[in-house]
Amino acid sequence: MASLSELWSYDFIRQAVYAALLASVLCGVIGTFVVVKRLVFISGGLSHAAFGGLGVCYFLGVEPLLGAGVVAIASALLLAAGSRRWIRSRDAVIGILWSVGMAIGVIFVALSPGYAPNLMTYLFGNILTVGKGAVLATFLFTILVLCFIVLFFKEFVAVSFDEEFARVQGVPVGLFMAILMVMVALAVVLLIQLVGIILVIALLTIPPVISLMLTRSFVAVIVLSTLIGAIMTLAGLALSYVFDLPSGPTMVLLGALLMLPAYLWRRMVRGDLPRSPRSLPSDSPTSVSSAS
Amino acid sequence: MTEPATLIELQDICFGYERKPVLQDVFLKISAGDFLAIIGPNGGGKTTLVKIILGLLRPWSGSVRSYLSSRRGAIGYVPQFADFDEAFPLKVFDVVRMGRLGARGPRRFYAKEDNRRVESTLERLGLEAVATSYIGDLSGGQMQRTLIARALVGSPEILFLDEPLGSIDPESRVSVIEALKELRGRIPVVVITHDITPFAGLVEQIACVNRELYYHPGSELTEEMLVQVYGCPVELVAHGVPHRVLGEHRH
Repeated sequence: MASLSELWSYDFIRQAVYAALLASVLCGVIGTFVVVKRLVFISGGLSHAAFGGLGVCYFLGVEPLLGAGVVAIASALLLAAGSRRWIRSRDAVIGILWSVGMAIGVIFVALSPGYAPNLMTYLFGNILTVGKGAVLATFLFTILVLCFIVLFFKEFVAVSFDEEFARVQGVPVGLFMAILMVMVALAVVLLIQLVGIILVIALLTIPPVISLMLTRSFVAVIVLSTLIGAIMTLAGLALSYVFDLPSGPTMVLLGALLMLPAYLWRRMVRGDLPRSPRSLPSDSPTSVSSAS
Repeated sequence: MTEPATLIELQDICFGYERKPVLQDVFLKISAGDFLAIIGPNGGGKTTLVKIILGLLRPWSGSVRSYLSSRRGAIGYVPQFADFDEAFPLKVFDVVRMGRLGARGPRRFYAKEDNRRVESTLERLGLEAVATSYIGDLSGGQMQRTLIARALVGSPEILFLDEPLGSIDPESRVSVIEALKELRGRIPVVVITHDITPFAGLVEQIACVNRELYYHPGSELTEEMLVQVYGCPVELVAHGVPHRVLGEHRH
């Protein structure tokens, strides 16, 4: 097997590692909001809807991720704008965006002349094909996300916890929800390169779900999810190299496996979520963060 | 004696979801010093009415006039706590501090003053011992008092509570009632409840809402009032034991 330094000398390996690290930050920050605000189904809808734009751009010979991004953002804004009026039918709207996007994507890819070898890449991702431009775009987006979340952390948390109270306090809830949804949409599109449309939900949900088993401080969940995201993507990449497996599914399965020890730890150390007050051990690793 | 100042005035409010009307021709005046109970059957429009007052819903017609100061956080709101996600990763302190959002505004971080006010409000409601507990570990009464603390920490000029005794155990009820007793006279309070019995001795005005609103400036439930709202016959249920709050019903 090639040595690490030898591997590092390959440009595509370096790009893959950068992409994985940036992806973990997105998993941690965006994923935490997706899980606590229960936007998982929406995120799935956005990633599949994005395939419509991807297919059209593929057909036209334009950068496919551009099309995916435009469609994902448009869908996100549509859902954010409609979220108050369509409360009853939002599920259905998401489902329709989800499947219609896929249908458009598949038809346009089929209409494209010649062999379509990249289709699998978009559905299941391949971190080794991530280009320099995409890494740069992910980097800039990650910085932007971090700025927004840090500057408006109290608003994003309040809106996630209790929209109505936030609104009574004068927080522009609609605006913050729209920003959150657009960030989710862009994160989804950028993560598609790593694990593909179908698996992207795993990257956004598994790290925060594991973190929530281990800690219940909001900031700690974000930090821990970032670490777990890094383990999933980097170790997943390494394992896929060693065993010659497709990288996206390897990452996802690794994450799923990590859920087991986390679950057992929670059962053993914390008991099964005690109901009575003050029964948590006060030295749990979570007591640090939320004063920030 | 001068009339107490009017704080909020509803004029001829009509509202509904989709095309189904929920509230019709509602007039209501809330004044300084009021302790108003909004009662009525489930689905009668109590919560909807309060959401209209809070500006969360826009009425089909009619007007909501507020004479409160226009600063953010002038209205304290305690929603029904059954709707909360217990697993949400927040401590009591963090939740209460959300009540400072309006005072702090969107362009600044929470400051020392916010933390100080949170601490004193927690103390006022007897929550200092659970300040660093996660909300998932609280009893019903503690969670309800946490939400009251969150509503109070921004120094509101009026407080709205939606079913503050809903789905909490009897012992916790006492602690919530005590907290409300402490507020009476200091800040106007509006309580939504389907069962007025536990609030006896606190409530000074009653509004019965069942699509229309019937206002009663006293704290006594009269037969006539309940017949108007619920139709008859009526028995209020409290503490698991049905008891009659009315004289014998004659038809």
